[in-house]
Amino acid sequence: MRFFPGWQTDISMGWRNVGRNPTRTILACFAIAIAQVTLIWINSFMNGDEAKIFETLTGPILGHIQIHAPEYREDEAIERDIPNATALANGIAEVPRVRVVSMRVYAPVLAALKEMGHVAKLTGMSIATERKPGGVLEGLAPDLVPMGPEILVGKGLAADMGVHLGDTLALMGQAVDGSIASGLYRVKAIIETPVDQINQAGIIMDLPISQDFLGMVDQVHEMVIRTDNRQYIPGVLSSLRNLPDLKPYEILSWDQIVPNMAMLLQMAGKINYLILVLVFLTTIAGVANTMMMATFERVHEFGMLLALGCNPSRLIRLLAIESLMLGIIGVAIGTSIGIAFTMYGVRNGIDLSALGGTSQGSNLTFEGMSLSMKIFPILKFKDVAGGVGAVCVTSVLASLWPAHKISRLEPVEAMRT
Amino acid sequence: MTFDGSRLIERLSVTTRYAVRNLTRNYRRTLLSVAGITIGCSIALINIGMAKGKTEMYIRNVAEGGIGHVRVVPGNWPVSHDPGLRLYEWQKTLDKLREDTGVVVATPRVRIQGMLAVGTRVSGVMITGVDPVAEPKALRYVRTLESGRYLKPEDSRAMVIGKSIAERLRIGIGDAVVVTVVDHTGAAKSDMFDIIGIVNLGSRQLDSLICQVTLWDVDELSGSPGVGEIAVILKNPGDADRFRDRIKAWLPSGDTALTWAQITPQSEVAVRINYLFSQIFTLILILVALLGVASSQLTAVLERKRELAMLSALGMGRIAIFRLVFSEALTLGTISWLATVALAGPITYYFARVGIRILDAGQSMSALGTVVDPIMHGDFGIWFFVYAAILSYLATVVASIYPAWYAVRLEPAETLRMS
Amino acid sequence: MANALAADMPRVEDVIHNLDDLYRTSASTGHVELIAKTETQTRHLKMRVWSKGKDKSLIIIDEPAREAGTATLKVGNNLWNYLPKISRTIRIPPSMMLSSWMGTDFTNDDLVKDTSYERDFDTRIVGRSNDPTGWTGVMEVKPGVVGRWQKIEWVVNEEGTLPVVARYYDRKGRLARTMRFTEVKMMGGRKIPTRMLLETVDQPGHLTELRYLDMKFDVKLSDNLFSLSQLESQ
Repeated sequence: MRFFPGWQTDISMGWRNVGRNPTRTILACFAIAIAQVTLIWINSFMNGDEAKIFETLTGPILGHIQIHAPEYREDEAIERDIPNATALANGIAEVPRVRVVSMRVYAPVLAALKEMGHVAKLTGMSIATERKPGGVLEGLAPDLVPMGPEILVGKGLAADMGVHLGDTLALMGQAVDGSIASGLYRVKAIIETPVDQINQAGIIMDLPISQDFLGMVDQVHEMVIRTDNRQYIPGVLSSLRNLPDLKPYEILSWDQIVPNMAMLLQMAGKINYLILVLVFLTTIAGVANTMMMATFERVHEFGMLLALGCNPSRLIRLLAIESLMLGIIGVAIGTSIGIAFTMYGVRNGIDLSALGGTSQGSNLTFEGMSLSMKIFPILKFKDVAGGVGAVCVTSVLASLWPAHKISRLEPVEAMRT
Repeated sequence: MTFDGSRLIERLSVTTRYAVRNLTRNYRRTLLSVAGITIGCSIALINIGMAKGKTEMYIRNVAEGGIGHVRVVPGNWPVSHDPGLRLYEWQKTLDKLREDTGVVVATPRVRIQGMLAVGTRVSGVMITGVDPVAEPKALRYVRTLESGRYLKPEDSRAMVIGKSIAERLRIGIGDAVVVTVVDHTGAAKSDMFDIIGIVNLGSRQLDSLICQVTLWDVDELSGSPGVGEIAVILKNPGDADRFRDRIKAWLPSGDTALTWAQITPQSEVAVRINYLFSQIFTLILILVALLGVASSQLTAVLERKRELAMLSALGMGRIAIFRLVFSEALTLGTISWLATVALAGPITYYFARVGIRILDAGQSMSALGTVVDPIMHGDFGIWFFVYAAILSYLATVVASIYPAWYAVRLEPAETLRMS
Repeated sequence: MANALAADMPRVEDVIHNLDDLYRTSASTGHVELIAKTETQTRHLKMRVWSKGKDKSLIIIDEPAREAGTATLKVGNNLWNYLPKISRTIRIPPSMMLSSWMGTDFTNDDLVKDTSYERDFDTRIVGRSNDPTGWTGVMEVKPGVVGRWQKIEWVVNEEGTLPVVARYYDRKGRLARTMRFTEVKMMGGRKIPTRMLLETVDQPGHLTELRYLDMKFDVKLSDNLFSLSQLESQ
């Protein structure tokens, strides 16, 4: 036999070799495909998980960006309001990448069912807006929506006061002009929200009703902005800061308001990264092991080739091409399966409560509201590409090293197995 | 075939000896196999250790944030959360808890709503009366103070507050505040306290929760003696439910005990989800490791077709060949187990003992370190050796089933002819 | 010079007494005006007030119209507000006793506290004051006293019978607020400053003013006056 130096021959030889031993090929591709599927899937899941943690931490009360009157956050004085709120909110909504603008009013009040006054915190918010996904009242049933002088009372506060549905509460507070604000309000629902403070001492009113109570005209204490996606926050922030109408106000992103949350997220991210590293090592080890094993077991075959005059470096090249082909095939299979799996998750979400069983702990149904425990994986091109690269490189390298060792052997030695 | 005892042993020893010799003769293959299994199992084990540690860390952060693993409270507290409620015979309960071997620390607390006033500035706070010696062991927030010092048992009229309260009142160490509470008769009662320590938790919300004085000072202010709760930190947080049930049996009938999961269900959900994730990932890791091992083992067997065919041709029965592959697997498994313990053992132990720093030391948010443990510890115990064995043998044995079955089905002549 | 001073100088004990007893009475009633000025707005309240002993007081707002009928009743440790707009009485939880009264810079306990300068402070007269004219005195809190003020600097009138200016210093020795007493008149058989202006250092744009429009001292008031039913029927 004569061997022609030339890539084309090597490739066709490599290809034939791959086809000649289907079982070995299948096994190798199997290991490679599994690795790629795992990497894609775990990465997507992690992305989705981090996104969900972020969403949970930054909403619904915190949002992505908040606007206040100067010094409001220090003393929460009710006269530090933002006037002309509606016009401002409309202006903000026009900024690109802004998804939702919520407005809020806060005031400490005394609430009384009979005679005894209880300290409570009144929050005025647009109930229609907050009922949407991502809002404080997400999942609030339509028949529990306050109309007119009706309010929602936090579960803890209701328990403290002995308040039930349909009760009328007297509220007393201070209007923005300093005068006494008072009113009677009917309890439409007793609620439990993701926000502990509201549950413990909160009373929720529709925004215009609360403004009326506090003698505010188109004034609010806080504007909460959500952008389309986390990555747009810095951009939106600077756009808002450049709006002339917003110049007098303090505009902060969530991580400036609660820097500790940012830290916690970072920490969670690091832990996830550690897990990813482990997964990566495991999958790569699997691929490497398979390829090395496959190569070593072919000592006899290589010995034959060497004895027949094959150049050791050519042998290595042949092997590299074979391994690369296996890698490509395996990665292609793995990528398709991986993406298919992930797309299913992206569309339907992974329901954690189903995984966790039906015990009460994992079932997040709060009174009057239900929250989804779904995680939506996020597929990122860099994860797929990274997997492809890593797996291919590993499969090639993992076969090259044994090949190198074998090529150094005396052919007779090698054939003796 | 008959399974006569002595002949069995003879046969077995033949196959085992062959197996061992095979393995030693082909040491590169053996090495690769062992390496593959060991690495796969080690990674899985390290992950399991970390996952257990992570769950524990979460629980610890919740518990040491003031909730405790288990809390003894007055029977009515779960319903009314009234800080004025008191425990029955709290001293007796406390002593008994402290004697329990499962308890790291048991600390009593009593709370009262009050107002701090400095000049014209006032701040409403929930004042907590504590046992100065036990409290820092149970509450992470007061282990490191930004300035001043923590309470001592002999202190009188001394107070430790969070930084945001100090800022709002514009006071510092050594300053005096007027503390006004409403005592049990409904009358306003005031007294002067000195600020001796300031805690900085980096969070306005958390800071404003810290206003601590000694138990006896609250006793005097409120005029209602006794203690409102006893928080317990356990050696083994996983035992919280059992511990609670155990102590409920002997607690005075007016009192009850709750676990942290019952007190803050949201934390429980978070921890549970976390645990779920860890389990899923561990499972995936193990699966992937097993698959990796299986495919490499299978590959090895495939390449040994000729050798096995030869053995068959030489008269080795199918079952014997099966046993051969199997005992090779067992031996491999044993070696791998030892290797895994040697490799993953020290690493897992290191993670358990020393931990990984997940918050960078250089960050300016050192305050967060008081809120959350910056170092994550893994777990290590008897479970490690057991799991290592299970994984190693599982890997090798399961991975060998198909190859062994495949090897048995070979037609010797066919196979020899083909290669 | 010291002798000349000493000759005119009022006696410390008398000054302390006068300050302590300034508005003290077994029972009183009258009309009061409260002006609360902030950077953004000014609030005028006109009220009728009744008080008996140290622990009973009733205040009913007459003006402005939108707040007319709002009332505050204090009996012992209990505080109630009556809200005419909703015809309801709400009891103020004890924890709020220290918070601001009716949204002013006065606190609830400012109005009804049992202060005794004689009991709680060491007083000495420092010397003459030129602007405003009178005598300067300093009260330093006695050790062991529970109270917010470390020191109160007074300027009293020439005779030492009435306060002119009071400067309150917190426990860190920082000036916290200044109270000015002006428009001395005869009212209800007493010579009293009828106008008090309160400036808080922390709130530079704020000014709270209390004016006695008319007062009767040592009147006879029935306990029934200080009751919830009275509150609601006003």
